[in-house]
Amino acid sequence: MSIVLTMGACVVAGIVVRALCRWPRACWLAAFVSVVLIGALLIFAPAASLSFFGRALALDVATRAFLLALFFATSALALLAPLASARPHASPTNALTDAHGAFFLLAFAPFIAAVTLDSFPLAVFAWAMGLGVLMLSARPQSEGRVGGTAQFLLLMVLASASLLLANRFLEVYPLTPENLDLVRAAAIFLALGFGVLLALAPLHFWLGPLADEWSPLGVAFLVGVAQAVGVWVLWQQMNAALWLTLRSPLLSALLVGGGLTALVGALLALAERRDARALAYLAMVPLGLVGVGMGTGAPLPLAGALVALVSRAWSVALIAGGMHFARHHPARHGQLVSAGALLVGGLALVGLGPFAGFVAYDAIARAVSASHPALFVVLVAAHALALVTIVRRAWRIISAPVESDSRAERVALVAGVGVVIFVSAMLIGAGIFPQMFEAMVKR
Amino acid sequence: MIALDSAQIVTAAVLFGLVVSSACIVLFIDWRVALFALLAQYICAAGLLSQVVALPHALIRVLSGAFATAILYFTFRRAQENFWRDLAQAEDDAARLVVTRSYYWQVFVIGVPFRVLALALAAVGTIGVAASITFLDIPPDGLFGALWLVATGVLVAILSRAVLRLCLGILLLTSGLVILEIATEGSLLLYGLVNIADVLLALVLAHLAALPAAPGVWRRRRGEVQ
Repeated sequence: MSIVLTMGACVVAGIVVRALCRWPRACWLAAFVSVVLIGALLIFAPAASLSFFGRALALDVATRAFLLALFFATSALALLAPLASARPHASPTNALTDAHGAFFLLAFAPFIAAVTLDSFPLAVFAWAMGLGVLMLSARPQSEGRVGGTAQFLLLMVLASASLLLANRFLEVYPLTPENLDLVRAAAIFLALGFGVLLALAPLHFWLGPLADEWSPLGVAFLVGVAQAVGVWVLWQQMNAALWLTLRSPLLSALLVGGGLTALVGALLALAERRDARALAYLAMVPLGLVGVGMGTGAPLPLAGALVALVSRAWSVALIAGGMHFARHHPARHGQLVSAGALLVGGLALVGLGPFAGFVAYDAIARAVSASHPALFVVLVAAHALALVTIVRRAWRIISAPVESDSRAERVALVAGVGVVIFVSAMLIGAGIFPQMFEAMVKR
Repeated sequence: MIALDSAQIVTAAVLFGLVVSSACIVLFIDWRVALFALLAQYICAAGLLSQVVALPHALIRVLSGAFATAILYFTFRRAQENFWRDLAQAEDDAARLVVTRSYYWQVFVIGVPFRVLALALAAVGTIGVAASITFLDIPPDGLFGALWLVATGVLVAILSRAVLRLCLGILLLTSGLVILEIATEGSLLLYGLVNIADVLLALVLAHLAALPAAPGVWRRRRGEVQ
């Protein structure tokens, strides 16, 4: 029952935060109370599975740990969002940016269902519902015209249908094991569906136009939290149909696609000037690593891939927070906080010590360097390029013209700094004590 | 002479309705015609679905379609009111011409002759595919109806410049995919959720269509305008 209660709490919290978006401090307070309550519900929810129309919603140790890790990133983003309109002369559109936290909380409710449901089609459906709700936070560039968000909705429908059809092929195959066409068709549909929704190269083409219509916080939630839910669903399906990974080229596709995604993401981010696009492309680098980790098929890199996924969500939240501050707090203190958050998030994103990703990257790198040296070189190059991008963007923030700040802005800054310090501490703490991920990767 | 029983006549009528209604959405710019065609498409799709699920369950498709159409009707009407307001504010005939053209040219990226050609190609492709493959034991008429809806849905989505027209394309596409999914899966829970998803999609796209464009200051801060 508590799983449903947690989802209900997410929906109610989203509605309350959205209703209070005209009053930034009340909005921030509502977001703070909401994340504390929902976090407590997630921690103390009973592990017993709940029956729902013949399907089960189960919150075992691994699922709970994964959801908590993702909710931590969601909380950071929801708490950073209401700091946009602290400036006295902020435009009314900033109130809409303040409301982004509401959409994150609303979208998290179906994501909980996607992670806890024992049925692949329903999990895919819940994931797509969450993505659909998230699209409400977009801001089109031209009124009434088709933009990246609308195009993504079309792709989302196509990709979800691909995944549902793939599931049907997987269900039918054991009845006719000699028919290997079904396995091939299932692998193709799975690769197409997940490739599009996870933005794996070369199916990442929607990411840039979509990012144009979103704030960096929205992009961070999409790539950090929503895509992580997708990877979890894929991982569950791979566990459920182990024979598929043996009889289809799914693992090879993950290896090649992962390497390509990391390299393409790093190159695109290096050439990009727009914040949201740069963030989306930067996030492709660790996603590629996650793909490679899953593609090796070995237990240790697979566990590393899951840890890298969580580390990616946290570091992307931190980078987005830095970009958000740079946009809305152009005073000297704001710029320092922005550049600091961007640097810490960026270093964690590329997997340097002592951040959380280091252990995961190490596990994947060891396996890949032995079996696929060329792929290892590609991954190292991609991460080096990502590091250059991060340093360059931080320098751009520091060297931007400085404006004076007001008292309201300083209060917002203190609240934002608190969130940034908390996320940074978690990234470093998880890097020093990787045992905290043990529950998540045990399965 | 080939003798047709009543079931075959009904199926043929349903397929004919699907073809005509989807073609109307591709060919006509007027939003009222397109919305009527969308509603007719939902009724025909329910007729096709009634072959694989019970009729009361199939009628749920009409209900969800009616909700989605109602959401789109109010959004289209608001866009129309904005057009009349802009037209009234135009100072001379030249300005009025610009407003009218921008309104009508905003719907599709290409003109009627190319849309007719694209529709003909989609029809040929659908007939070819439906006649040459079998897909998880779906009956041929069901497969043709589903593929036709998928093809025209993708066509409308690709050719649309306006978000609301794209929404019609996505709803056509989901109609086709629902027939494929339910004919193969048979899960009533999934069927119910897909119907809810149609309404959600209509809501999200209507919301996107109603939003004003992002102000220049946003774009400047994003680094798009230096």
